[in-house]
Amino acid sequence: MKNDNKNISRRTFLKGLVLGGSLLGGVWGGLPWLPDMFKQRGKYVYPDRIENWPGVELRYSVCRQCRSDCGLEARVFRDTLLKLDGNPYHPNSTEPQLDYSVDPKTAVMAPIPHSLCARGQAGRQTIYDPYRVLRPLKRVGNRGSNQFKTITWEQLVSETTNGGYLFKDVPGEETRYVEGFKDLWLNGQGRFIPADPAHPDMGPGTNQLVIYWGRAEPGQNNFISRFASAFGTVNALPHVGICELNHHVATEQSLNGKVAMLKPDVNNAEYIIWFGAGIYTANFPMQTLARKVADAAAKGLKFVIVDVSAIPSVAHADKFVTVNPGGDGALAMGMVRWIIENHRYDAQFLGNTTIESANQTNEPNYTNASYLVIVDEKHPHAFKFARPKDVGLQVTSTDEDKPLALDASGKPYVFDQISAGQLWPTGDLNVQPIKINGVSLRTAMQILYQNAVQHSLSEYAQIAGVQEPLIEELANEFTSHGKKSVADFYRGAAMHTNGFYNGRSILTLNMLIGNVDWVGGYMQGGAAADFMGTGKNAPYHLMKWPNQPKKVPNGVKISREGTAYEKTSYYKNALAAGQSPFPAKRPWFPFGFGIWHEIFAGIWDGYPYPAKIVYQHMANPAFSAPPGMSGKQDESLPWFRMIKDLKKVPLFITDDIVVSETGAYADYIIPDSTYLEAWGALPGFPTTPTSVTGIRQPVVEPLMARTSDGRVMCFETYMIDVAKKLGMPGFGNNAFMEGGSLNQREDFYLKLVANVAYDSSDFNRVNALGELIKRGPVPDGSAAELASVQRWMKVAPNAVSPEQWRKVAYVIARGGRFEDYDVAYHGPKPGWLTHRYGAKGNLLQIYNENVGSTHNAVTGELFIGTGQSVPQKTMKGRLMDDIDLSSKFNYHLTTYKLPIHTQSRTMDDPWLRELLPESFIEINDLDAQRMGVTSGDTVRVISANYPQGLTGRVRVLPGVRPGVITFTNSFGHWQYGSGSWIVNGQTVSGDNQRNGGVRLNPLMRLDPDMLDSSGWGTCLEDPVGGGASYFDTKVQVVKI
Amino acid sequence: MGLEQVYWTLPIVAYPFISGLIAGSFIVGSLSKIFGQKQYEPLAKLSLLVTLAFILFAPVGPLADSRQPSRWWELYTRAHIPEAPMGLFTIIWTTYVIVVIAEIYLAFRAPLHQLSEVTPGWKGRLYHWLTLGSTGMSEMRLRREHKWLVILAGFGIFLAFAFHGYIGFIFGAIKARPLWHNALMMPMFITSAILSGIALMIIVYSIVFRYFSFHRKVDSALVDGLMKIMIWVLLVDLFLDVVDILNSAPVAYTDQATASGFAEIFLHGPLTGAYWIGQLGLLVVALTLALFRGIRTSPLWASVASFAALISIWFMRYNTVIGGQLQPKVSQGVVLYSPALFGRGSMQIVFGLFMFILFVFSLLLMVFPWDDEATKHRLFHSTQLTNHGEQNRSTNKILEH
Repeated sequence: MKNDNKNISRRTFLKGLVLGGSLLGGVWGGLPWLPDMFKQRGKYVYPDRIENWPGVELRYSVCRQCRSDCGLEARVFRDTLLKLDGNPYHPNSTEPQLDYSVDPKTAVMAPIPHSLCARGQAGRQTIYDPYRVLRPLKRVGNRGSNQFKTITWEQLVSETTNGGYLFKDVPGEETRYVEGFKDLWLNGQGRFIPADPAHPDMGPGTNQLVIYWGRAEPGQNNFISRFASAFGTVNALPHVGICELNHHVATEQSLNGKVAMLKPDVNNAEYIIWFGAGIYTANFPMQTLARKVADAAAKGLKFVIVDVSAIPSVAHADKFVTVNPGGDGALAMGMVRWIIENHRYDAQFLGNTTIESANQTNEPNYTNASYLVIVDEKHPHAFKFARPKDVGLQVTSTDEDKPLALDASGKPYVFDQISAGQLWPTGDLNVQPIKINGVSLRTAMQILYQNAVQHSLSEYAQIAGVQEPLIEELANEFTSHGKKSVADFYRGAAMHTNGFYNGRSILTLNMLIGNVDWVGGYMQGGAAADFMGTGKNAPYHLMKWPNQPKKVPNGVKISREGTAYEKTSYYKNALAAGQSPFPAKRPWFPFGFGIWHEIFAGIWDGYPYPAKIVYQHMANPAFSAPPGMSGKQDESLPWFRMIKDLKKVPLFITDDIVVSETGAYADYIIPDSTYLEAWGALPGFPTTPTSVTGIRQPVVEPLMARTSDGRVMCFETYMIDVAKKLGMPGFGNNAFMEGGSLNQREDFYLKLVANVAYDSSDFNRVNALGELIKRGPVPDGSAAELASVQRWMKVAPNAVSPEQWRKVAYVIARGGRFEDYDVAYHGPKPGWLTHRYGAKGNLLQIYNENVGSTHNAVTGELFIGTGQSVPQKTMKGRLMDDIDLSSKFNYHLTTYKLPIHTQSRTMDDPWLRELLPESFIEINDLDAQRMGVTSGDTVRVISANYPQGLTGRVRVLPGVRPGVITFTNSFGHWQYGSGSWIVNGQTVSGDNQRNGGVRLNPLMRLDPDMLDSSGWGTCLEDPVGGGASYFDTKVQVVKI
Repeated sequence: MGLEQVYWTLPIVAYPFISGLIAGSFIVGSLSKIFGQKQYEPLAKLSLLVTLAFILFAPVGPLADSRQPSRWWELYTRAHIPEAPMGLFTIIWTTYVIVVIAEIYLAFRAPLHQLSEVTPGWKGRLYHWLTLGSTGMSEMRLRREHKWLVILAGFGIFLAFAFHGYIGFIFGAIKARPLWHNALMMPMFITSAILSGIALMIIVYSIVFRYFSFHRKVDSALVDGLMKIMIWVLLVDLFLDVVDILNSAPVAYTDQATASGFAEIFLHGPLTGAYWIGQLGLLVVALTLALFRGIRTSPLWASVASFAALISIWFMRYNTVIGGQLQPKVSQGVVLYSPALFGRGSMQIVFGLFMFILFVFSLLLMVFPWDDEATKHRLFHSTQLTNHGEQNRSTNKILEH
């Protein structure tokens, strides 16, 4: 019994223990969630982490989902990117933006809209694309076989540097010796040995390293150029030729040869005509411009959209003018003619010969309208401005090279000796030349008018495809707002074979009323900080480095851009041999830059020298461009033929974020950073009247693999390692003039940020006297701001000095350096902008003597120095209308841009595909009726260039001009994280939803005059600017 | 936290585990009633209490894992079917709870009534209260109650299948996760549920009867019987696992997403050990042990084998719930996950859950007369004291049912 009792009490104790212990344990275990059972309804936990949550960091950087470079605000939690918004300090994203001095802690919850567009927000899906290339790949099958293996970083660097029988395991390449960087570098001597001894002016053998990129923005492109320069190649080439090149060339040649873009001061303009500019859906910066236009239109801005199909901004426009593709120049020149004949131009402004005389008449800049041009074709300086010597005038040596103008009495002077020059020396609207010492001369104005009267208004109307009264109406309205009218343009008008002249004609409209630098006029925008440190006070001169030999690199670019044919040994040798230097083997482009199709043509023809190593950064020519040369998985297209030719392209290295259509042909693929893992310094656009320098920084730890010493695998690390292996100056130890090494990209980019911090060019608020004052270096960052650079201080503690870190922190904590909003309109005279093109004494060129005296290297014809309406032609000057007859090819093929996509690279973002999963061939309803098709029907589109044609579904849209078909240009992928490829023997199948939609690029016309005997050729292009023609192909449309 | 996370964490692993135990223990408890296996009679009442303790906490896993558990009642006030498969859970669970409570009432009413008459004080009043004041002890009444008990047990078995089949279904129905989207999910979950329930009952029976029953004795024949049943269920479970591997691992037999997910997670990934050793290895260990008669008839060793089976089933739940989420939807590689010790979605919560269950089970054990021998003894003891022969006879009658 006793025992029993003991047992019972032991058991009771045990039971009590279990009961009490389990209850306690249960309650303790419920602590994390039980209290939530009693939350009041509505006070629940927000499922995402907002900006001011503990642990959430805001990091500012710059978007690159398109080229607008809007400031972005990345919300990061435990190094994961949660969300992308706009940077409230950046004027692209916010209007008015926060003052630069605002504490970032306040900015976190700034109650103002600071936006990114849909595309920008979807950037999160670009960085986290599951099909990214994160470690180096090497080709193991034939080019295009899509077979790769992963290799180590060391193998990548060593093989590409040293060369060798790199592909001996690939059938057909067993005995192919591939030259690496070492074979061009030749222990540093390669920079001094001509590639072609017969033409040493073409440059050294190191030029046979050809680097081109699709998108490398400031910072990154400076890094690539540094590598190229140090290696000794002039070939570090952007993509401008397939983008908007003719716009830039037309603008540069209308201005000082350097400024490539002006934009209307939308906030204050009264009347704007946009020719082919994609307002609301494209252009720069897309969201900023759209926001400004919508706002200004609501407040009274009148604007006209000139385009071949109705873009969304037509909804707010006062007028939609639908022109013939390429007819923009005719419309503009018709207006020029009307304005001149009705004396609606600003004669006083055009008569000013110098900046001083302009300023005296309250004009911020001046033109060369009154300068005299030699129009004697036989004169050795024909079509150049007349210098005193040319007409036998004696002047002092300082005045020898100055153009002449006539004073009111008709006497010639060098231009700066008189304040006003005559526009019409032989009578109003008279284009008869004057003669000085037997030399025939016309003023620039006379030449312009002479070119303007080549067609009557009705002819211009017919060429442009508009009604004649419209020209008068537009010209009348354009000249009825003083300086507050602007005619602006972009790709739609520019990317034709006549694009340069279209652009020159449109820019001439602005010069006739003298609207540049005026509030409400045409503006240059704020300046960017001197991030490369070329100025005096910059802490780091990044364009120089120790042991940099003079005149390296030198020679001619493989695309023959930036060099006048007339200055080459090819031209001079021919003349010396008594032969005609024309036609040159291929055209030369002294005014253009970044001409992709001519890079490829140079590689194909080995002219002016063959390429040995082709390095491609962030580009996708197999998919995107140039027109007609690629765009479909069809290896008979020129670009594929070139890249598959192992002799013409012995080594093809790319860096990319995925295995793209182009990557499929690469020998080596280096993992590239997405923009959210990259650095850069991004100037603003002229759309913004204040100074902008956005700083791009990796917002999270890059996803790419690391090298054995812990650096991020990316193209910068690759270039550094190749350079170090070769012993190139400017990399590794002792890489900067100010001391310090360049072993990782942060060593370079943080110095660039320091230069921005110490820049002293931008303005601060007005002082007590109402004047602007220079801001100087930024203040030191607070402790909280320093926290924003902690992670960089860990990575590269010695990249900048301790004092500089504080200023770098101030800049990075705000995402860049920005002038305050209210600085914009404080010019020294009423109505002048703060940042002015004319502030440095620049002039506007009604007539450009360099253009007017340069030959088309193929035909030998001279270009025209003013605006002009010319029809679409081949490089040899044959009319396209005579080649592709309208009777057969009765539609004009054009493209347009969507606001949710950018060329080749945004189709990897599912959010954007959800907005529009496929694309269409768009056609006017009258045309549709005539063909008997309705939306959803399939048609085949055929061009002379691509007779098998391409098919796609039709969308009938009344906004498309009859006779035009159009499509948007981001669809039709076949391999961009889609399709399939093989890595290490395993097939990777991508996301084929990226492959939807229509892509008609292969239809686009190759220049029939520039095909070689094998049928290889380049696209139609502008002979002056060099830009590719996207909009001059005529096609046949067949219902199927 | 990476770009992609494991959204359903440990409480959700515990959820199908606990649910499985309910289904299994309920079926074991019904063996004597439905299948006439009288030797399992001693388990009947005990398993009902186990079932109740576990079923009350079955929904706590998802509740603890949810962001707003305070809105639990909206499961009843808003339409969730067919949009949310989990809406089914509300219906099945609620029905199941009612059935289990009804069964407990029917099974315990008579002894509770008898005990209430012989037990003085608050305990007696509690027994009386638990009978809901029902005092009828006629043979007809008792027979009718038994009949209902059998009907409810049958319905309960159906519910057990539905309950666990549905859990398999909510995983199997999710097309977005290749490793879940598998028609085998339902049978696998049902089989493993029964397996885990048997294993649990072997352990609970062995412990409770060894330490807390009247005779403090475990019937090794009963354990042997349960173990034999367990062998068969183990074989089926292993078979399904093999079929699952054949369905998921070889590239030739399945879609690429499933094959690559299986390879990256279970063949050479973070859960390789959890799968091959934790899930399959322990299952084989349990099976091997169960094949020895000496082990089957030893409550201690049978419990060890059962425990191995239980742990294996826990791993199976873990591999399913967590493993399926380790396959990234938008990024490369695998999603990184290590279970939290404390806080949201942590081991702390799972520990608390089992502690609550233990608490409730202990409470039930203390209140309800689950041990027929003890009841008999108490009634007999009090009959002797009060010389109440009638009652003794009726006691025997009840216990025979």
